[in-house]
Amino acid sequence: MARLSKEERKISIMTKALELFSTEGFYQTTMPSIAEKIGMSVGNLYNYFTSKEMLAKDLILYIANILGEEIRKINESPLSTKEKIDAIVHMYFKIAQERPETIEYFLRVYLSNREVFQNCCEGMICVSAFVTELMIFFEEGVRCGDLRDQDFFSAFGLFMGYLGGMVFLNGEKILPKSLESYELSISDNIYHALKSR
Amino acid sequence: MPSNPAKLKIIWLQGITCNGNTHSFLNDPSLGRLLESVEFIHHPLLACTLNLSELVEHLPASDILIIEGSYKADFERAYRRMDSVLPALAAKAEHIVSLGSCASFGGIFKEADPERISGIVFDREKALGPLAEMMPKVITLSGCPVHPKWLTFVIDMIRAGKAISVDEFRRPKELYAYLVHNGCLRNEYFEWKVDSDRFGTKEGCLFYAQGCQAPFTHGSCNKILWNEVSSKTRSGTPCFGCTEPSFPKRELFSTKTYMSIPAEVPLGVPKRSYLALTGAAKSFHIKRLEERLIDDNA
Amino acid sequence: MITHELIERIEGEAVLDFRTDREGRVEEANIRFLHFRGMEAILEGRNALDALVIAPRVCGICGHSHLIAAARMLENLYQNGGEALPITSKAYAIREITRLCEVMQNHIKWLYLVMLHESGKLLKLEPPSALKALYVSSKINQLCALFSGQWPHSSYALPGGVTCDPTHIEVMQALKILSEVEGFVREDILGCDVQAYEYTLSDGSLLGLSGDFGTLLRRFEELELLESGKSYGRYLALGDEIGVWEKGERSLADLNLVREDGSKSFDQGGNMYAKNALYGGEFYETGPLARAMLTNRTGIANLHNRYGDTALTRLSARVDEVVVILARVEELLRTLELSEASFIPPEPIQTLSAEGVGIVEAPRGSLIHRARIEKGKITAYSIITPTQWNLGNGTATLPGIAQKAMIGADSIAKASLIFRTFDVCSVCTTH
Repeated sequence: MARLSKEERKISIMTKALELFSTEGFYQTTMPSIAEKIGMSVGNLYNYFTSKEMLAKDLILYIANILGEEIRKINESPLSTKEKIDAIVHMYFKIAQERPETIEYFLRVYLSNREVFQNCCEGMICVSAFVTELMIFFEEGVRCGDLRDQDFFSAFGLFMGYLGGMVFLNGEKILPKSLESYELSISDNIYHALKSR
Repeated sequence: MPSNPAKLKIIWLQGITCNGNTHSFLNDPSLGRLLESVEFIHHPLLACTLNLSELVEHLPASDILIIEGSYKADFERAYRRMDSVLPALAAKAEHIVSLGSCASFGGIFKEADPERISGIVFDREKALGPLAEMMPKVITLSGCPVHPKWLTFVIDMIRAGKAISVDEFRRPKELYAYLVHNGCLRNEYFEWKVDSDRFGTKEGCLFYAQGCQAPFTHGSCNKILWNEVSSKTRSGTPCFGCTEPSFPKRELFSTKTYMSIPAEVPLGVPKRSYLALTGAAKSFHIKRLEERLIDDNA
Repeated sequence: MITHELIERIEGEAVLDFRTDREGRVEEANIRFLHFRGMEAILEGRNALDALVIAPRVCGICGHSHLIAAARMLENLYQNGGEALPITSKAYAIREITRLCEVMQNHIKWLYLVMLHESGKLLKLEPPSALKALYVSSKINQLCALFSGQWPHSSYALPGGVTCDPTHIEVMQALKILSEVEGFVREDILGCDVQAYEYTLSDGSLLGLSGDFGTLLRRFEELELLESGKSYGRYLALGDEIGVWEKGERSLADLNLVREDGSKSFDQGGNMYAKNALYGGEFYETGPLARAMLTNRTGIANLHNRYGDTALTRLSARVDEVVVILARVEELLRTLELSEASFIPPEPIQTLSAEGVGIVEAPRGSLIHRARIEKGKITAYSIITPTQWNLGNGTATLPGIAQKAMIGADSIAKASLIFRTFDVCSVCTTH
């Protein structure tokens, strides 16, 4: 087996840690439990991440980059504003289904344990890659006349709060139908709420 | 250049104007020095050799022809149409200075008759003015008005026989490569995205809400200060972009935004980079920048 | 005989059509301004606040007065829309300082670039250097810029106050500049200190003043023009001193009596762009002389008593105003209360539909800005400039203010010089 580079090794640690954090929660997960799951010594783990908080922060950056990269592709595509909404909803639910730990981490660790992120992730710094792409999506939507001009956060909250809420309901197994079966009506709702009048 | 150089002969002719550049020029405290080295064949206010009627009759040659004000073919000076006066004077001039945004791009007065009023070389950003073919000998000094030192700089350079490096609108790069933003006293508020919540304070950046165009307006306003002491932004007034072909835009005291995001971002900065940086900077709350600068008055 | 005289060295150009008798004496003088820029139309359709940027560009020499007039108009508009918009005494004082600076530099430029120059030409004298006057004007404009950011074309006054928030540094600098200006007025313009000057004003020995003002008066005497230039002797000030002065009586002015008469303008089939400004259907003089009469400034009122509205009185009123302003600006600077707010934010202008009027005493007299706005957008804008009052064009039997002053002059050259005692501004007149 080819030897992993330090960066690749880091990512493989993060992937495992992500699973633990999103199922056990931030405080239940410890550096020794992460090390054990990966099969490395705790001492060695500290060579990669100087603290649990640093690992948690790198994880949120990692997730924001994944989501940001996906939305960027959508932003740069020739799709209409409505089609972009469809694509973002689809992408978000797809990740929630295929890699539930990413969205779970965002909702259950990042948003629920703000005190952990206070010192290194003020405001939206760690999710900037993702928020920036949404800003661009909204800005372009208003500029071309498709979306109604309003405060960024009232639009952002409507869009992301909605998607996050659905993923949460799905995670709690409350939804009677599969998540993807809601895609169309949800993106219709978002579009109708945001479109220019 | 001869060892005892003759005085530069200058003609200063006005088109459709408010005289703002004339009065701005008179503010130069070293005007006396300048006048020792130039002779005005014609000037609207200063002592000169020919009066307006004589000027349009003789249409003399000049070292520098300065045009202030917008161009309209049938606008008359001393009963003669501009389309007969201007090209004739221009053809006999060694250098032409398009002084002010009206002469340079059409400016404010273009709005009264957009189809027929333009600058002498440029009509807004297009080189469609009556002197477009003479572009190589034209220096554009845009601004509403132009700072007197910008004009004396150009006159001094011509006197010294030095080439003036210019941008795509033929504005001297040494004056217009800067943005009005450069040297603004509120730069730190811009860096940390602290906006000014109201006019009339020393604190906060005017770019986020009050319409300041300094981050995308070319000019040395905060390098070569106005009246030697101040500038718009230093007195809490937003920059209105008066040196650009787009002047005057609309809604000049508010920043156009799309979902809270500025419609125009600092010149040359990709929107994505700008937004990423803004999001980061806004996340920090720098106490010093959120307080009054001098709190005795608060 | 009819002669067309092109008048330059004003802001823009004007044409005087003179009818003279056999001796060349002026029987009738028609005033025409040929240039028109359509400022009001440019303003219509814009956000009302844009007027604070566009309106100053009416005029390069008195644009600041246009700014203050527009700001006052907007404040009045808020008030009429139901939101009283008081500004702090600090904001008021700062606006006064900058406005008065503009008046001062205007008068000094007029004295040197226009009056001394043109009177000298008539007497075949070498043109004097105006450099010292331009230098001191640049200092006055610098004082203004300490608060307004720049001169010309500042937009630092907004409904609610001013954008600047000065410190004692600016105030101290301003006082220093002011003392330099005061020195110039004393040594160069008057040739004596202010007390001695006021004495000459009261005892009628103005012609003995050794300064450049004395020189101008002596030239007028040599040209036998001192007692010429009489007009109706009725005055109007609508800006800061509101009143009408007529036949020794002062009364309050009624803004409803102000009317613009465009019957001679091109759009009405006439041959000029300017529209006459009338009060109660009649011509009234506005400007420094009117302000002096309405505030009952002793020295000028005495001159007026003795000589009426002659060139002597009119010239003196303008120079005297510089002296009065110097003291006023110093007082304003010394009492400026920096701890007050510069600006009190009003409701967004987009919420407002109303009409407003703003009046200011500009260098040449009362300047009126009126506008109507719908949801913050200008639907109508109208400007009446001081020169529309003074340089209005009447008929042979009922001439305007400056027209009447020119009638009887023994040559068109002298009539043109009398015309200039009104401080002509073409760009303002037609705007």
